[in-house]
Amino acid sequence: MSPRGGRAELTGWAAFLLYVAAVFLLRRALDRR
Amino acid sequence: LSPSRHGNVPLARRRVGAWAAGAGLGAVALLPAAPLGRRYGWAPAVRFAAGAGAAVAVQQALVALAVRRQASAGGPDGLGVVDLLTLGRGTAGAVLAGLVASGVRDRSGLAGWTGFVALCGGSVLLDWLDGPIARRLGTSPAGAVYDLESDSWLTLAAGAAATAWGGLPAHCMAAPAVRYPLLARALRHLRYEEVFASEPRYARPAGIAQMLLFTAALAPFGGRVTALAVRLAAPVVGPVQLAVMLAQHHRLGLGRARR
Repeated sequence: MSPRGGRAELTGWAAFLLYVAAVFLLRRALDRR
Repeated sequence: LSPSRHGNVPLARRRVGAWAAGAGLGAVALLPAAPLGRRYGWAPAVRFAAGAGAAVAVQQALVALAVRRQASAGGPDGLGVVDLLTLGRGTAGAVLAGLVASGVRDRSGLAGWTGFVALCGGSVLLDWLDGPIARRLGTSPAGAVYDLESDSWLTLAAGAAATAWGGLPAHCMAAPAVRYPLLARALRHLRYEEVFASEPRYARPAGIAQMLLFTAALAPFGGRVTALAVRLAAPVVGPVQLAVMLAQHHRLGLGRARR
């Protein structure tokens, strides 16, 4: 795997996890308010 | 605000008919057709539009049936905001089905990103937020049916997509596909609510693992590590989810059930 490909893969999964975390926090905030 | 004849839905009183909602959801599902046409040619775009449009049409025909039943039982005669969010998940499934029908297999390109965005929007954003929003605004009596069916349809469409261009073996489609004949069999003996009345504790993690597998297989940024993880997980996750579906069905004890 090229370093660029590996970095793109890592960045993609990091962005995905951030998105999931953001939706999770939004859900919690909606449930608390 | 007192409960209206629409049931205990004090805040979300606005309702739209199933077909009007279908027109809106269909328009959303067909949005990618033009960019897909410019990128891959018009024949795949037309196949995409036909597949996605047909999926939304079938969904809304079933929803119209459910709304009619609901209304004849004294419930609301239309779809509320929460219902639309839930059916948005079905629309995400329609986009994936359209992409499968298009014949385009381009995981890291526009088609792959379209499917991945639809999947993540449906299975994370809409799925996780419609619960808390439903608790605030109230939901319709048929809301639980829309919820379960949208979930299953999105899973089936994601499985088909992951098999088509995500490199997933076809046996991973068995669990989401077998759900329908099992449900049809169960409905001959039980009411819909009874079929889904209790869920064993192992069902949820198995379902999440399956959706994660489909998500990983469809990830447009997936490289060698993702492909390896998918290749290692698929022979476990697919059969385990199938076993879970069969075990859940067995738990219903249909042989002992009354008709």
